[in-house]
Amino acid sequence: MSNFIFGRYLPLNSIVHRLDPRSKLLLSFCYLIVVFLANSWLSYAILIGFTLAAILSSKISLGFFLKGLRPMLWLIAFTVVVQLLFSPAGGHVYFHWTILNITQAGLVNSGVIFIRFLLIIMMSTLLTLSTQPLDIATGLSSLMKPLRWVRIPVDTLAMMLAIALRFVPTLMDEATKIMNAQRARGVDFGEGGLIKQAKSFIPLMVPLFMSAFNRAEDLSTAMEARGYRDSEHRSQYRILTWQRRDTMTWIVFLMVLAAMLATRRW
Amino acid sequence: MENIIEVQHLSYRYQDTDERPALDDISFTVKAGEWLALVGHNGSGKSTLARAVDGLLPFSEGTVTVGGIKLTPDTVWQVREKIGMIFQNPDNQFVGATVEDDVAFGLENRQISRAEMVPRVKAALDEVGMQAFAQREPGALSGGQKQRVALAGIVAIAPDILILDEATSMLDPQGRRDMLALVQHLREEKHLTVISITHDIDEAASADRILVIDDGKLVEEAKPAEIFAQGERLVHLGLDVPFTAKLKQALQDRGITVPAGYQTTTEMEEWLWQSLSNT
Repeated sequence: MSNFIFGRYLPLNSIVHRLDPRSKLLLSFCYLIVVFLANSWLSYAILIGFTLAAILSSKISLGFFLKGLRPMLWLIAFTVVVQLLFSPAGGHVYFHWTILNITQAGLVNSGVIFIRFLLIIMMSTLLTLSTQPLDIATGLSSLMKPLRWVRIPVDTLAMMLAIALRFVPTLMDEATKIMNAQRARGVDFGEGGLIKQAKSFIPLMVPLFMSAFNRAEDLSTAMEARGYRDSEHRSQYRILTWQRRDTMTWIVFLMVLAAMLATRRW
Repeated sequence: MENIIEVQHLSYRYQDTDERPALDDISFTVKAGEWLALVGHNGSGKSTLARAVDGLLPFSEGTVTVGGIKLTPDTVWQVREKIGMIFQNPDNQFVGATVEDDVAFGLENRQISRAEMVPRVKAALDEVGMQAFAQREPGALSGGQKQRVALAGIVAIAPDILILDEATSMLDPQGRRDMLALVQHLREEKHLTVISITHDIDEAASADRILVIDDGKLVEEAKPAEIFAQGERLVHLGLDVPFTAKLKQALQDRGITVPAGYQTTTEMEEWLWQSLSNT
């Protein structure tokens, strides 16, 4: 069960792993925009080259990226087919039947959509494979610091996120224990029809929630006993440092951006 | 020796409508450097008492004075500066994502600069022998190791008083012994005053003085030797009778003569082997 959400991080020692999480988060966000700005084949070729280079320098084998792609496969296939069949007329018409057309413009459009999907999924998979969830949380809260000025309790949200991440494995273990205990009493998980399956989760969810509330109660007492008052008036043990490799990565990215802009159709 | 904790006529009800108070007119003092054990049945009010001393419960009757400071809503944070508390469940007090983050938690709350935090976290982890685990996540640790980390978190903030709220009750026998030895060591080195709430007879035996709480009242106060001499009554006081004593009782009930006095598990084993090979 735990592989489902958090088994994604692969602890390797590559330059991508060692990058500042803020750097990676911002870069992934900018990359998203850049992918939608590209419009010529050459500009896409440049982005594909950049993505492949990023993947190679992470030392993560390509198989993991293909696994990341799998859950999105149906969505991609559906979008590509819709683009292919319903796109506006343009260029040579290869196939025509009532409202369905396969045109040259449609072919090009669906190709572009496919490449965009592929690039974005590859890059976000790279982010989660090379960055620990906690680092992502720390990076996010650090990037959101300016929101303090509009009275958003960024530090409290960051503390909540960090504690939630800290307790995911604990609650997962607990869920497994409860499932085993209920199985021993004859509950079948994952058998029968949809409604029966959903019902079988009630003897799992009720004790799990009870225990989660008890834990929360204990934890808040322990935090208070250790001097926790609020999240604003605290110093930080875990800090992020922007390093030379982060600057270098951004220079490379800006060069790729310039090359992409130069080769795109205006 | 001066009194580091003074509790006078402390009463507390969880709800105003509760008929019986959880704490009923309790008064006692703790001397600096003393090890005090609080024993009693589940629900007797011993944990409630410890929480009241740390200002975690808003009691209305009675006074608590810690290190010369009277506990009020205004002084509660000053009082907590002086007290480190370890709770029963190792998992539910582990706040940080890794061992070092958790040790730093108390320091972060006190707004200590990172430059000062780093050496203090390291020193605290060295003290409890967990330096090698600094980067580990709590899931990779045993219960005993998590409690050591909790101790390191307390060593880092250097309080005067350590309260163990059934801190060893979820550990295996070995983990329990290690934890007690560590507390002993830290107590001597840091001149800590220790209050331990426990059912464990070995832990109670480490104390200088035992307070017995029953039904929210303080019913007995004595040295460990005096309490342990009461044999059968230990169960009534809320202490777990050691396994060897239970075994001896069971053998005696079957008409087998057993050696007098208290035996450790190993001694009992020896005696059993010998009597078996003689028959």
